[in-house]
Amino acid sequence: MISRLARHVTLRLAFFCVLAAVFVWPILGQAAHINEFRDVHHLFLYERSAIDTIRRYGELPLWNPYYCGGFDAVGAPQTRFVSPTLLLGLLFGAERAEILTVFFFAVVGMEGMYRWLRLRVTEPLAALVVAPVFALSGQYAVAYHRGWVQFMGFELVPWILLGVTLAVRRKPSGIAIASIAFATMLGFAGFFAAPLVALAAIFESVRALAEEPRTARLRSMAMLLATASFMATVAMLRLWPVAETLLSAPRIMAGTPGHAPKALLAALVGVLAVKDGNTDVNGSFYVGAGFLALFALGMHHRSALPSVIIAMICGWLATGYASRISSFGMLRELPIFAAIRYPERFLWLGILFASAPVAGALARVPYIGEGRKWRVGTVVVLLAGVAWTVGGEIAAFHRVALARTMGVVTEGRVADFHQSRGNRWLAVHLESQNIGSLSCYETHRLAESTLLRGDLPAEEYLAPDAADAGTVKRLAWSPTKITLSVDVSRPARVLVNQNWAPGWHATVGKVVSHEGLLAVDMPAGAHEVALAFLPWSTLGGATVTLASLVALAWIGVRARRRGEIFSKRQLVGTTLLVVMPWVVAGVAYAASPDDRWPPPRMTNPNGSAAIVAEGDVHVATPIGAAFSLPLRVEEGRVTGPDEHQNLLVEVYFRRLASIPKATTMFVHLERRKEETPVPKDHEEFFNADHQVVGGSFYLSDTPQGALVRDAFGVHIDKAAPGTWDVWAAFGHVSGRKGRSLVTSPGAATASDHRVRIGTFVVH
Amino acid sequence: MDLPAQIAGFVVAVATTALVVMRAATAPAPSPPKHASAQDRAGFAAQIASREDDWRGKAAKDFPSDDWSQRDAFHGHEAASVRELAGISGVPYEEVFRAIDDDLHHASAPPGRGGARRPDRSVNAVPVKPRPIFD
Repeated sequence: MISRLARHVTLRLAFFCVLAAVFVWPILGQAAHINEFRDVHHLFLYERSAIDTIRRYGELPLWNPYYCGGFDAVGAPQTRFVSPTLLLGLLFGAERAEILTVFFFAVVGMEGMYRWLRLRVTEPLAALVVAPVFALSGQYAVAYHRGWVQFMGFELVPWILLGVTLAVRRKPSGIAIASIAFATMLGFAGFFAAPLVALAAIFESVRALAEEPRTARLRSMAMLLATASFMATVAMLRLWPVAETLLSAPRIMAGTPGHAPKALLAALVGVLAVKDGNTDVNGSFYVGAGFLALFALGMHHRSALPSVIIAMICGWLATGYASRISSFGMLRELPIFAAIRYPERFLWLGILFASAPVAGALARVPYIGEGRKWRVGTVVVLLAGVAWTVGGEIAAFHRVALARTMGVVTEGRVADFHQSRGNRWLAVHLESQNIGSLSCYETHRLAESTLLRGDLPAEEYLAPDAADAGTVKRLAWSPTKITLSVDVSRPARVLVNQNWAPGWHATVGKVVSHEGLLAVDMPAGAHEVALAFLPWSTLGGATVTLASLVALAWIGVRARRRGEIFSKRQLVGTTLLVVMPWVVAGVAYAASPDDRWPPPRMTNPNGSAAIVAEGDVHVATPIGAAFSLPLRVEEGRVTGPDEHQNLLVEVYFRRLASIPKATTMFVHLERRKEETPVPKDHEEFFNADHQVVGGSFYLSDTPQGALVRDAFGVHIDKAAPGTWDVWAAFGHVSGRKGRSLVTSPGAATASDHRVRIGTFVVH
Repeated sequence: MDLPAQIAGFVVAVATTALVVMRAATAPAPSPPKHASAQDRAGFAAQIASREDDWRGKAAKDFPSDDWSQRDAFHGHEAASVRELAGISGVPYEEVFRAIDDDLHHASAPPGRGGARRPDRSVNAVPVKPRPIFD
């Protein structure tokens, strides 16, 4: 009977709502406070400023002037307001909306899991009780503790997979479900999870296709292509602006993170707790030992095999570079996977796919034996196992959520917005004052002008070469519109203490980028000029999204009237509807009146150019060393150590042909052996290996043939006195590993497949 | 039998959601903050200003030749001090930040490049350039 009741959506939702209410209940009392964890200060600021922009100024939050000197808010990958949850913020305020968002996403996640599990699990009760395991698992607790509320968007992954399978089964509703879920997820800042979702969707597609009869696979493939197409075009409102941002300022991740299987097991079954204000890997994906036992129980059935294989692959990916053969490393060679930071997040997908065998176990094991006693007994034991799992997850969430350091945002807005030096570690406390923070952090570089200042008497002023040409006065200000009175005796440039970005327009004069600063070239005379931000990327993206939704609706109507959408009769019409949003996108892109971002600047961490012209090297030592990898070290220089015991190392090199992404420059600082014994507590070796030049680009992405200046600092505190050599070599951090051979040392000394690029003395 | 069950489910779902929304919406708001006096504000600004050289030195040592990381470390030290000063005085962080901001704007630098008059107060922007390995 319970199984029959589980089929009713309202009863299921009642069950899920009660569970979600238990999940968030103790935290509701803190709803008016903010989490003071460091990342919250930009993530929450994004949400708060969006809500403030709508509430106070009645404008769409297209531009965020409160952080980093201002940026395109829709184009920022970590803003989450382009989703229905914005309504919660508008109704209840940013603080109180956060926990409500968690509640609603938990319910949505459980319902999505139920529906997705039911595609392959015939027993509704089994799907009902297993659905919460993924939706309440430990990573959501970790994310909430750290203020990564946008990670709740991962609750939409089961919906995306549901849509994919329905599409493969040739149901048009699948296209709509996958597209809308994906667009919502991206709107809710799911960009860094998107590569994982793409992989999960590929796994799901392959499995679903394999389940279809051969004769239907061609049409299923067509449905899949249509799904992928609509997933991209429905999300275009967000994809286009974010693509523009990331192309102008890419996210670069290096390193070789990895976890031993034991550590991953601890992540799944360990106790999730807060230590020194943060969580560690233990329990970070908590599902408990009971879930793993049920998974083992569910593995025995043949129907569970695809899920088991996918879950195992996810486990393998989660080991990162710790595996002898790193699937994660191979994945990172692909463009959209290159910026994945944490391999352990594949455990999340592993839990999702492992839920199917667990539900299968619940559905089948009671029928293995005979008799009512066996059935009742096994059902009770299995349900107790799941209840223990879910109970453990809820307890973990309460434990870490209540261990957050809570604070209060005090409203006290200054009348006129201005930039301040700011502080990204506590930036929300500046936004609440209507003050911008130039101190900022993001996971990718931002186009930020070095001319921004936090101490100006006026935020809008005449450029220094026209300072005597007249006056500039602010008449009105809102986040996306600034009105100025400009009176100049000759053509003059007005500078605004915010960043330039494509999408700023002026009613008089011409908007330009003045070394990255927002500026407008004004004609002589007295003018009232309004600067407004309305980026074409958002307008164009919104148009494509709208066109896609219309096309989807039309496909739905045609499917209802005429049946299968890729039947011979409907093929042409459906194809046109799939292609139509791309035509709109192409036209919109071609019609863009906005300037484009300049290509990203390749710089070193000290601000110096990383690509230099031939002959720009004046004082470095010529080397001319060649390696078995197509790289050539031309010159080298070592400066220091300075009063802070810091050394500046510069290596000038060229890439002569393509090299793997995992190529690394090994840099060793070694004290010469013949020196006196090393005093106690002193060092005779320092390592400065790196895969990325100046945080700007991988060695493999250096322009072929160009002269690269790789400048980096090394702190050599406690270096033993004596003469030291600086050695450079190339090799691979993963895959083949090991060092590239020195085929010709040039003018340098070579040793152990390394060339000496300089020396220094420690006194 | 199914219809009453469905209605019951609907009622429970809506009631539970309403309860959660109501509890979040009525969670006790923080008590009105104490404001800093003019003397407190001057004290905050002076204390922060007096510590800045030390922070810059530490940051230069910890992050050689890395402009953004140095500035970020500087602000990390500043944040710790803001928390400390706010905690001692019982005022919100906002009051301390306003004091620092007023102090920096008090003797405003001329706009544009002329602002280099007081480079030691770290008022210029250093473009964000996250380290490729954060941990």
